[in-house]
Amino acid sequence: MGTSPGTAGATSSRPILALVPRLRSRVTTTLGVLLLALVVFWLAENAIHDIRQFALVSLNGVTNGSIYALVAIGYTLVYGILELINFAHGDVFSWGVMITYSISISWLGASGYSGLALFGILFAALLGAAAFCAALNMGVERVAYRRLRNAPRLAPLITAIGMSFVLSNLIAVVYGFNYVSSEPLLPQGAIFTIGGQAYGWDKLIVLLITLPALIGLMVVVKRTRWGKAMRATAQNRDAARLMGIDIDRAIAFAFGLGGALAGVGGFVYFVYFTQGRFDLGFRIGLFAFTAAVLGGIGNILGAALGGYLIGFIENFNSGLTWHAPGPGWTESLVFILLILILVFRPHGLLGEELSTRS
Amino acid sequence: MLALYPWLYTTYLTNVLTQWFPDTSEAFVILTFTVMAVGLNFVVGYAGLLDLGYVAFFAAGAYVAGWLASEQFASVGSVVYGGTVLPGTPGIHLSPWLVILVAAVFASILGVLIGIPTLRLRGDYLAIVTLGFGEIIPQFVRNGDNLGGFNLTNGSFGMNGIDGLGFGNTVHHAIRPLPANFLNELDSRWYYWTALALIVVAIGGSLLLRDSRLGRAWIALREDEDAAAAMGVPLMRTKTLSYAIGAFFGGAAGALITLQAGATSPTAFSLQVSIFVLCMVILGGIGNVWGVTLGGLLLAYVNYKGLFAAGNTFNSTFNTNIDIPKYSNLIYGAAIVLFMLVRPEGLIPSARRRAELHEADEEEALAVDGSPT
Amino acid sequence: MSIRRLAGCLLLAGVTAVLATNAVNARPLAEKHMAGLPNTCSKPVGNGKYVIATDFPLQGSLRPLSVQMAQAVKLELTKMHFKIGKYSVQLVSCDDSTAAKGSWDPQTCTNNANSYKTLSNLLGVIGTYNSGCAEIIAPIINRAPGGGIPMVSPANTYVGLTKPSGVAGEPQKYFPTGKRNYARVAVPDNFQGAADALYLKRKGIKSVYILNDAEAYGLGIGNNFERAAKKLGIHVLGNSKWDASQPNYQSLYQGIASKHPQAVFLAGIVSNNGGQLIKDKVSVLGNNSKVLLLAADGFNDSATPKDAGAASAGMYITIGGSDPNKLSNPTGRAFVKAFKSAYHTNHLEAYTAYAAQATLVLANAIKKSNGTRLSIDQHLFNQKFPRGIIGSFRVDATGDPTLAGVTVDVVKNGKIKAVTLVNPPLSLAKAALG
Repeated sequence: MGTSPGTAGATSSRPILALVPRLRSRVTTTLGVLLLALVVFWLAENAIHDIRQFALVSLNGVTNGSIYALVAIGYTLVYGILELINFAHGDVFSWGVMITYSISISWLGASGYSGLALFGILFAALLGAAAFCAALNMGVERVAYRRLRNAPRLAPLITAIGMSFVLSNLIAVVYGFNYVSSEPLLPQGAIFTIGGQAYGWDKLIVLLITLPALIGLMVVVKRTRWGKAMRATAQNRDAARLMGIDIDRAIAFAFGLGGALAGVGGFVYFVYFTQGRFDLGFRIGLFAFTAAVLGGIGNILGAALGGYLIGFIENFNSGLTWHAPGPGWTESLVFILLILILVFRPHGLLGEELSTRS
Repeated sequence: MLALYPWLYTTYLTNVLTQWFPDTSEAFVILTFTVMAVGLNFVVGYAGLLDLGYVAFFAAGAYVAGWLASEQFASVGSVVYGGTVLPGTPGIHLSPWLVILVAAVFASILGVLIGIPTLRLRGDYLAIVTLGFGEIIPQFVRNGDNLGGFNLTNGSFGMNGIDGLGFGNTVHHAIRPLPANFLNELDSRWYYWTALALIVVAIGGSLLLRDSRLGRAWIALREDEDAAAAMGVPLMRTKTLSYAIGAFFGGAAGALITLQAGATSPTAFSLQVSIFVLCMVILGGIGNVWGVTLGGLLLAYVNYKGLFAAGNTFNSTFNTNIDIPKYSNLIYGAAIVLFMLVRPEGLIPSARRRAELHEADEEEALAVDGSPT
Repeated sequence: MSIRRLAGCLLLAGVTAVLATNAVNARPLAEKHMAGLPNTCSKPVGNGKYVIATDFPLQGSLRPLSVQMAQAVKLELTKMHFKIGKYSVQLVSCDDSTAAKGSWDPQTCTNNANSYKTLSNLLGVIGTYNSGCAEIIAPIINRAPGGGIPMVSPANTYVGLTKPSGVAGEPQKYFPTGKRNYARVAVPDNFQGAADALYLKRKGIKSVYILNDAEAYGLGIGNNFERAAKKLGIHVLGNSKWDASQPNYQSLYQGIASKHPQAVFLAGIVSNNGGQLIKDKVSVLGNNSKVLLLAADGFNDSATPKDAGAASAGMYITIGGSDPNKLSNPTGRAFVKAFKSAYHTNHLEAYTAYAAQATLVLANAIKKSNGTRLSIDQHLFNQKFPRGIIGSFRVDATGDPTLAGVTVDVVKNGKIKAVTLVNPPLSLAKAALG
């Protein structure tokens, strides 16, 4: 922790008061440790109270967290490269959910199949959703953000908000304002049971899709030429341009990659929860963006970590029975955690200091 | 001029263009939202701090109005002080003008309290934290019906039966034309005038502060925080003041709209409200109070009247039966995108902002490839 | 910049078109859309001197229900040839919802109410569907000049609108002039809560867990049910909120599972992620014959079997009043037949018959009145309908119907079908009020 590098103390220019930040950092550190201890105590007490319940709820947290993680990465990639909160990203995810529904239920009638045929249909839906969302996200960038790259920095934020309205309401126009829904698609059978409650294959399948997607993304970003170009652009756009990197294509690549992951997230959401609605992306997007900030915006591993953390909070809060605030408080808890983390670590859990552009 | 609108509306506009011109009640809502835009401009436009949780102050103002002008706290007996209700009515009923002032000050204090721990954060980290507060406060209100057994906010039921705005019986008896309670008037012209007065205060305050020492400090810190600190601008105090002043108008608008509707509930405080007001500021021309006012009027008009009017006119002109509200949000979103693409600086950009931008453009052009983009 | 120029041209063209159509249409427009009406209202039907307005959420998942209610009002007025006593009327249908929310919207309710207030020839409002919207509209139109505008709701079930419910100032605060102008024909929530508890008791249920959607309606009926269940000796294991925007509820139910309830009661509306709530109930607690699932009338919507799919099979859903498709009295049967043939449908939504009855309550009061709103308001109360559409009842002095029957439906083969009618005793309904 130490002294928080990003905080702008009014006192920093006055040597007499130079002690204050250090004192404050000690107080905040102590407070932080205390709070952390309290949370750990609460979790431990719940675990002792009913260990089976605790295990079940944790497993749910991992499953739900996977979806937040997949969406959060799209935010972090775009923010890293453009310093833009891409408000439309949550709605790109919603499109992923709806496209999965269209391909698997409306076109290929997945509920009538099982076994290998079902696997084939779902695989087609996965590819379709990822490709569609990648294209959609790149299209959004091309239409709404590219022209504004040198505009006042809040201008693209507003077009992002506008695009969010457009994308979600297009879903409403195409699919209606009500839920689309299907019968369970994934095998529900138990792999093992804890206290009479089953851990089904569907939950494992969610992880088996998410983890490879996350690892694949890391490899693409770290190892490929495109990934390197993207990272260079994120670090210093002008220097990257001077090095001969095509900035437009690098940025489009970031959007495509983020969109594809949102598509995968949408696929997972639909096959696991088997429903969707036009306004779905709002809350998921909000939490995913929070996850990206929690983890340290611009940091891919951080975004995934943040996503899982929020998945845990949501499920601990609604499933644990010993002094949990209850589902009415989930959003508050998520944001209180965010504020606390940012007060103690102004650049998120794994983030580095960001340059500030005014 | 604008004060004559209610007269203009009833005399001419009702007969001819009733679809296109807002009636006084709608005009009131439009003006009140514009007040919020002018308030948010202190934070986003002047001080350059992105605030995505402005709705928190709106909510604070609304609930102060609920607490101080309804039967919510009937347990304290009857406290009527200049209110528009009869003496002896249970609950607290202060004069609505006082309620608006108290709501504004309460929101300011809340702004300072939120500001102290968070304003140290920079750039978009601050934005996401304000967004967090904008979500926490409505949830607190929703769950506030049982805070250790105490019912503060009535929870999801919200508060209703809130007193109307008015001059009270004493004033009414002294000066007859001033109504005791605006709710008893046929139309909302008195509400309209109240909102108009509030917006005059907000714009006047903006203009005064812009050219003051504080205004210059905001601009300095907006342009370069580190340089401003080095020049002796007290960052925290300057930032916190922008929050407090912005919150002041958010709280006043929240109280005013609640006193008019007579009810408030947690569903009214979503992130969408914060975003709506932010769009007004940026669309109008961030930092320029006239631009922001125009942006606020325009966007609120489109949202509360224009889209309906356009739809109804379209349907009756072409004899179609299109379900316009179904597409209104889509059109609204597309219009924002299109507008921003055409005028990224907003309707009336501030001269200083334009200069800053231009400077940035030149720097970029020189640094990169020498050709203007 | 071609885009800029194109956008400019489009804008110019749009403005010109609008101005041109306005110039051409200035007169007809004024005639088509009555001055002062909320801009959410339709063109009027009939051409009488006076106006009756309906106010329902015409967008979102409640649209089918709302459309039928508006149709029922129109049918009743058509039968009267748009003449009530000596007053000839026209009917407008207004909307209190927005597309974006897909449900009622407070600001829209306020604007509607403020517009109603300015109409001197408005004799009454039939509506609303949502109690929350009525709480906003009633006090505003109560202050209209010449007496509060009479309002009769076919579907508001929130208790506090007419009788004390424990919330400070209810119900007086909805009638700031002190003179009431509001009546309803829907069965209040405390009767439904009591009937729900009574039905569980009859099914031999000994313990129940309540989930509410944290909105006013859900919270209210959840509390009513809880009190009635306790009174009947059913063990209430908990009454907690479900978060409508949470993606799923498995953890929530796993917490509940450790308490081993015999039944779960859902107090809320289906469009608050009710489908997922039912699916997860079945996947964690088991199917609805193992752990009984009962939901209040917020789930009495064709969306329930559609969104929850097979998981909804065997769940019970109640609704105040009798099964709208099988009204047993002659007046009711005649109405159902007339409605079906008038609108070419063979399914009546939950509150269609109630909307027709509400129209008759208003019309009867208008007939007896001297033509002023104040007089209509007075005649709203203490009316007798021995042969009403929804049965034999009276509108009591507070504007509530003296009806207690609650229909229990079950979901079977993707359809909601009536099972039985429960008549909770008055003492239990009082206990439910707390």
